[in-house]
Amino acid sequence: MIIVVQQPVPGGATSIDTIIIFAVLGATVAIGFVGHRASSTIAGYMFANRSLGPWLLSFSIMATYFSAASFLGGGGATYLYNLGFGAWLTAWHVIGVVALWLIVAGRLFDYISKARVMSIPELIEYRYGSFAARLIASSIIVALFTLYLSSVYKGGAVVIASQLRVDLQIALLLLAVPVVLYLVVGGMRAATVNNLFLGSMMLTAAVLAFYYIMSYVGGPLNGLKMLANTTVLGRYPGTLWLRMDGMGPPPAMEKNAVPLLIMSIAFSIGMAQVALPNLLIQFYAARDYRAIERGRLIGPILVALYAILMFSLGAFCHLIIDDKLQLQELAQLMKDTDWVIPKTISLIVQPAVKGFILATPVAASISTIALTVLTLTNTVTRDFIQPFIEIRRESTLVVIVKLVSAIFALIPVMLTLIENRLIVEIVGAAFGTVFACFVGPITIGLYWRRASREGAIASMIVGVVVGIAWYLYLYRTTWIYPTIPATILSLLAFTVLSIAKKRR
Amino acid sequence: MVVGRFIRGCHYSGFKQRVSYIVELDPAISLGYVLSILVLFLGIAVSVYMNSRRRGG
Repeated sequence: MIIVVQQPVPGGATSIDTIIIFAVLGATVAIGFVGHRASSTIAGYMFANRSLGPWLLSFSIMATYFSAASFLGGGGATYLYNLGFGAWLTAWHVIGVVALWLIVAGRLFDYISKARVMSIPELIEYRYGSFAARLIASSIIVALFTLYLSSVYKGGAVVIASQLRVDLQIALLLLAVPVVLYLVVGGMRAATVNNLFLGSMMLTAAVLAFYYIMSYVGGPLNGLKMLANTTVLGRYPGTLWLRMDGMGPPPAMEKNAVPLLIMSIAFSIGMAQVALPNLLIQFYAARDYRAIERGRLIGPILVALYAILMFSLGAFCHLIIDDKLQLQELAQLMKDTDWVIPKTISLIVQPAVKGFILATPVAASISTIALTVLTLTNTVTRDFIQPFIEIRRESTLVVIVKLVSAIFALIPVMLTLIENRLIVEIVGAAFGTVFACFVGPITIGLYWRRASREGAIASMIVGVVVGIAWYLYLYRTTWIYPTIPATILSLLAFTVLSIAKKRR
Repeated sequence: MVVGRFIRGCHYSGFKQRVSYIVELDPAISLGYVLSILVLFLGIAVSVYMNSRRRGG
């Protein structure tokens, strides 16, 4: 998770660049009406009447997974870290997406279709025969995804604020209003068709960013040669970017912990795909098993392409922007690498194309927000409202669901504006913690028959407690990303309690 | 013969010199990139196999 601080982008946005950002926001609302007809029933609103083909499914999952952080943080990370970060972030993303489509997708589709469940917590109740497990899963999803969304909003809004030179509050509204509109009008159909549009835009922007940056440095190999012969900030030799134990955050370098830090972050982010409820729930909306089969070929290629193009660009940006920045600006950029790609693109790309590339973090934010809000809506109505309040008329339920969507699209906006340190810290841990909580009960539970109710409950509780506590108190001393200990301990609890239950 | 001509061509075009910069990249970093490509192609191959087996079955 990356929290972005607003910085001016050199050159600023020309009127054509501004028009492009507004065009993207307007297009998402217009596309929202595509799903208008389907959204008059619950199955239509929440699951697009189970009509998604392989392209919609693959693009939607890719665009949901990659938020603005993938473009800003992922793209700029190797400005600070050595190229090992880009290489292994790419590798773990490819391993994660291949595992998602090959190991999880088909099994989950079969399981959900057989059980006829409509939410991930409901799946957990069906699998383990425990309503308590369902309530714990629902609470974790609502709490952590709401916090996670506030970081996604912030990532997109900061880019809008910087490009259009408006306040963060206005930028947040510019981002939230289209999402609320198209979600309320079109539900999942609108969100997935939009994700096809926004995902295509993200991939095109990744190709353009890679092309412009690599052309400027004379190609990747020439770039490596130049990087090896350069010195950054007057004290770091460029060869540090070519060694896995080389460049990284100075405190981690002092402790020789850079490779450990790189591997733990890359694993946590890349492998999260196999257990994130906002990705998994989309398989329920697949048209049939053939959509999953074809998605297995398309989905991994989309994620791999984006990762290969984006995640190693930051290091090469030293060769483009360093001599144009003051030493103080350069030091600041090394601390806040999210602005490396926007600054570089602003310097070397002509207007219009620049506007298109810089609108991409906004597109990436919207696509993630929409499907995550739908997952929250699904959980709140299906697991918190319906088990306790009987709603007989479907039309009433549809109105409630749309209202919940609007509310849960706006709550994270308010959280973003609260400058509370604890909230900011927990937001940082939210994404990885979701993975630690659900990888056992959902992903492994699909295959392991011995997995027990006690194991599933313990796994979710241990995951959330360790994930957040480690981030708050131990991350900056150990330099081990919290997802690693949280996942290890949550899987340990899951396995030990499941085996113990069987023996009894 | 063809291979020899290719290698000589590569040599004259500066390929050998360029390769030395890939070699200078830490093998632990190169491994990450190579693994990405390998896993992607392996994943596609396994997907094709799984799809054909399901249809056949």
